[in-house]
Amino acid sequence: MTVSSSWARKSQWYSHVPGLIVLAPYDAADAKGLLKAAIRNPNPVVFLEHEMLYGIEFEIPDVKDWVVPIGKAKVRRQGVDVTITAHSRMVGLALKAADELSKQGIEAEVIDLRTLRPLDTDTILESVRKTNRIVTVEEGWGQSGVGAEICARVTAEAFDYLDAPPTRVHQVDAPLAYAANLEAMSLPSVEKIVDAAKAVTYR
Amino acid sequence: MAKGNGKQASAEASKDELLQYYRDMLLIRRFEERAGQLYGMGLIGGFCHLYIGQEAVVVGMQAALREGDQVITAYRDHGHMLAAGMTANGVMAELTGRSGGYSRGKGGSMHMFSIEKAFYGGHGIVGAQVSLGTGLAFANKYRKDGKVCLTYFGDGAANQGQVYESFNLAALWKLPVLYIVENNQYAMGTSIQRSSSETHLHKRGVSFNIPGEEVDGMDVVAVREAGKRAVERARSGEGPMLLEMKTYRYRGHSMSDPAKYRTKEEVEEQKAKRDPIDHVKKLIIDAGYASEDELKNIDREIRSIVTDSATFAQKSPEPDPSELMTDIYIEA
Repeated sequence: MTVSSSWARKSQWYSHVPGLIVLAPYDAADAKGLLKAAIRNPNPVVFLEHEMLYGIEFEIPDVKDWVVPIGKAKVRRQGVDVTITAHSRMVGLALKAADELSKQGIEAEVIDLRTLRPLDTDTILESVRKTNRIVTVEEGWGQSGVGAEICARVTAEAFDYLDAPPTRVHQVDAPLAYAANLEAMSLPSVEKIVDAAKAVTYR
Repeated sequence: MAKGNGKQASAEASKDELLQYYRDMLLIRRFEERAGQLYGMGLIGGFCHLYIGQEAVVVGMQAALREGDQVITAYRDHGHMLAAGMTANGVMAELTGRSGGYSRGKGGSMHMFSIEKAFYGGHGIVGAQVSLGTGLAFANKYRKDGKVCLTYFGDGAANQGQVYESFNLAALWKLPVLYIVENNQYAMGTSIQRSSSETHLHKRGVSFNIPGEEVDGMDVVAVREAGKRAVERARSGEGPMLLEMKTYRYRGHSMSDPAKYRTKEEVEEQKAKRDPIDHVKKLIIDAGYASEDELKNIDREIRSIVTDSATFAQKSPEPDPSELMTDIYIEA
């Protein structure tokens, strides 16, 4: 099943369910490689496409039978000061925020989750043990969300490594309004991610 | 049970009625033309589904209603709102996402309502309004308030499962609901021949004991007459009917549809031979109810209403930022 449009914001609805595999790629290479993996996987797979990514061009590796493994996150940018996790369209915002943070002397590590269930906890924990801080980013609502799950796992399994409270960036807790100004206020932005990363690095 | 004769008598409308229908249909058409322009200018966001070509359906059906009767439809809905008496200003300002809109800019084209005018939306999920309309009719029966609910859907939605779950209960409980299929012949880009095993959609209620009727949806008086019979039947407690309006949309499914699934010639032929506004205009002129000049004056009036609505929709401010966290719960 592939789901696009506003349903991409409801990633957590699917990722809540045992027995499902939930994929939410950001770039074209992952979209191609994960879709192949999904087709070859005998389990039910929910493949979340983001409609607003359709117009963006990405490189695709010139490899015969390009397949991306399910359940493996990808470190998109190396950094030592703060870990930022994101999936789907939010990866682009997280990378932009990391560039902005770099100018201010903060090196963020950006993890593209790619698979929401099963979540690649090991990659996240490994990064947090290095950076000691985590900011999660998602386009959906916060309650019972992807970020809430990640923060719970990090707190449970890397508590002693944390130098700041795990922090979430997500859509505000209200139905998404149509009006352009309210929509912009509702959704995560580069600025909101930068602010959150600075808060956990006490800058 | 299913009649299937397209043409009903078209001559039984008075001068005042015909002039009103002409005015109402023209308002919808000019409004939609302007909405299309504003969309092209980037002033309307998201999706925009225009009703041009189908005006006779809502104007004819509205003429069959009593005050308080309800209307619910999907997202090709601006015509339904205007026919229900909602203002051009309020509808246009909602399309531009401004505080002067019916949902104060927070809903847009697909989430617009007016309890005052008994218009219940405005729904983005194909076919979902059919079960909601059936629920409204259930409430009417429960309250014994004598109201009838018009539930509109398209030929695409006619293949949705919940339509038939609704049919079953509406017929079983004899609910005061009217199902109106606006068969404009294309479900997005898929013609009815390619999507439906039974293309005569008025027959779709047969196995639920819902009588159906095919109506020339380009003839406002034929629509009104079929509507009156069906509304009266529903109001008297005999249950739902299914009216299939044979109609045609001139524009694409939405503004982003290049409509490559049909020929320009097909569209031009429909416009030339079946246009619902030209049809009423001819009735008016032939009967001597108004001159060409008088009709042109009406057109000028309508254009001015629509121009004013476009101005209002651009001048009306965006919703106040404090509106971000409102309209989520009703205070209990």
